[in-house]
Amino acid sequence: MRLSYAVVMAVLLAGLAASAAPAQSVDDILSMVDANVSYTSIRYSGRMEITIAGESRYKTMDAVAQGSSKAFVEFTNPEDRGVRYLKRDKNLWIYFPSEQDTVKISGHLLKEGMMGSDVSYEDALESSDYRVKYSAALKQEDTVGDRRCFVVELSAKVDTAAYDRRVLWIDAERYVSLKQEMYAKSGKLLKASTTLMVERIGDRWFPSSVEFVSKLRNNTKTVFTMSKVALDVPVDDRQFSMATLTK
Amino acid sequence: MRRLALIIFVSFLASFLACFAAGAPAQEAAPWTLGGTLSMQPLVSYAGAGSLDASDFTYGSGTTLGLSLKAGGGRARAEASMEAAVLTGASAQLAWAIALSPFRRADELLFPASASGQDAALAARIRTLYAKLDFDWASFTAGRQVLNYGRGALWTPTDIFTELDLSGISPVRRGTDALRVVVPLGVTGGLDLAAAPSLSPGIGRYAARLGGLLGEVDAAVMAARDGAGRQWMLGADFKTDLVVGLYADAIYAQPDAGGWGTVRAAAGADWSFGDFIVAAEYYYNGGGASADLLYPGTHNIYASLTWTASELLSLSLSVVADVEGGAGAGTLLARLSAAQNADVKAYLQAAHGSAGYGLGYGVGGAVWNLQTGVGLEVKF
Repeated sequence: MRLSYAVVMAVLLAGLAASAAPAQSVDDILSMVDANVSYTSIRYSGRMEITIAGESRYKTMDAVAQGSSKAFVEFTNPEDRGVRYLKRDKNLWIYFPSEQDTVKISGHLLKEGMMGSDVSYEDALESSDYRVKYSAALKQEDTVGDRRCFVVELSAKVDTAAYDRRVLWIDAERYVSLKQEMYAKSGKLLKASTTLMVERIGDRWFPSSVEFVSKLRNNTKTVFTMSKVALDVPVDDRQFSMATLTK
Repeated sequence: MRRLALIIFVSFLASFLACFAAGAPAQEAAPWTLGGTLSMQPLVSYAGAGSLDASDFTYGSGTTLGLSLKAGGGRARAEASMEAAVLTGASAQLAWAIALSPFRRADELLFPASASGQDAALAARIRTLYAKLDFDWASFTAGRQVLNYGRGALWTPTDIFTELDLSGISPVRRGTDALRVVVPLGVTGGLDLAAAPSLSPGIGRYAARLGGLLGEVDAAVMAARDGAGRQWMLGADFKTDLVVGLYADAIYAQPDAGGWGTVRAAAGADWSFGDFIVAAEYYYNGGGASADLLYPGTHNIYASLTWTASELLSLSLSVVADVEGGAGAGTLLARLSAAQNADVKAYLQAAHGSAGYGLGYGVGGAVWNLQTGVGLEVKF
């Protein structure tokens, strides 16, 4: 169960990329963000550090994803070595090597918080194209650190959206999301993220390290960092097969 | 002979470690990985009838080293995993009791082989030892491997190759000596052929399983031959989601002698709300002890409630019972992540009336038995 948190974070980070958007009109802003962070495929090595009340645990993984519907993650830290996740559309399987056990994650688990957190599998499975699930409005300009940002508010327009409302702070120069807040329908702030590092990959700016903080729990945060990022690389569809999951 | 075998095994373990102590090449991804666990589990057991005499209490402990080596990459790979344990008191007594039961496996070493006034034992076994070739159109595995069929949380009648080891806090699957071919069918389906022949191939076990994703349902059908039991078997299983997760697993065994065969079936559901996960399962065993030594009762239930308090702490309460036989056990288990690579587990179990070899219901015998223990597991 702990591992699902890592996957959620990994895919959230990827989703974060597709959620930000660029300048003048809100559509212009969102399309410029998409140009930076949307991709047909991605490969990376990830490290997730979870801190709870001062205690830290880390997990490392190798991940490959194609669009927003296919993803494959293999954990490499000693405690979880060989545990793999396969996602195809709304289906998610976990493979535990010790018991050679493949478990299909139930639908209710996709909706509920995992491991005492507020991050659900559904977060991980949400399409990165926010313009499909949310209507967007440009609110005002603000600064994050010393960076000038556009503040864009996304409101859910379909029931399948993971959050009722999101607010994004988008770097006005590099067009990546530097900060995000996710709200429930009641208006309660559920969690927030802050981009810690933005890297130049080819002709894109890419958020490679993000900190997530749950607002429903005390003293918790998770920092997810991607390295060896390769975008739009060719990926064989067999990478996302049951045969590869149980290999 | 057993002493000699144990010495050979321990020597093998030492060589196993020494061979890889130099470490993997630093420049590229390691062609092999060596990992393992060291766990220690002291326990206290009470089997009195209300009195608190010293003789009502027993103490035991098990310290287990598990090592796993995975080598190769690309198309050819190999894996070896083995366990060695030092058992004392009640833990040793349980190992000796199992060695005298039908659960005994001749290739698992236990020294000394019987209690005979002893208080400690050394145990060792090879859990997996196999080589595997992967091609795009099929994979081939030969050797001792874990063959895992079925969907159930506790009971999987179609899992005909698996034997469970219930000597620890949680059930662990033992390895099976088998040949296996898996042919992928599409991206989520496959045909799985497995054979576990004996000295006389006619008394081995053989199975063909066809599975895949049908809509939102993970489903499979299987046919198998149990040579030793002189019977053919047909089975099916599925898992799907209808707000709650639903799954079922059933097998019918037709004896060569004719007449009606026996059915074993399990069905269950799981559901979560907030930080809680609830699971319940029913198991019908129409074959009695001859079909399932661990759970010989006809009607059996299992239920669990797990609370994930945080990433670091979880609590679970589980109950398993033979409804008609009156045997059962309840277990309260707490898991704490004590460090990056270390978990602490503490449990309290109450068991009652496990007649015969129904070890799945606990080790209470004919009276109530209380057991508590702590486990420390360090992974590397």
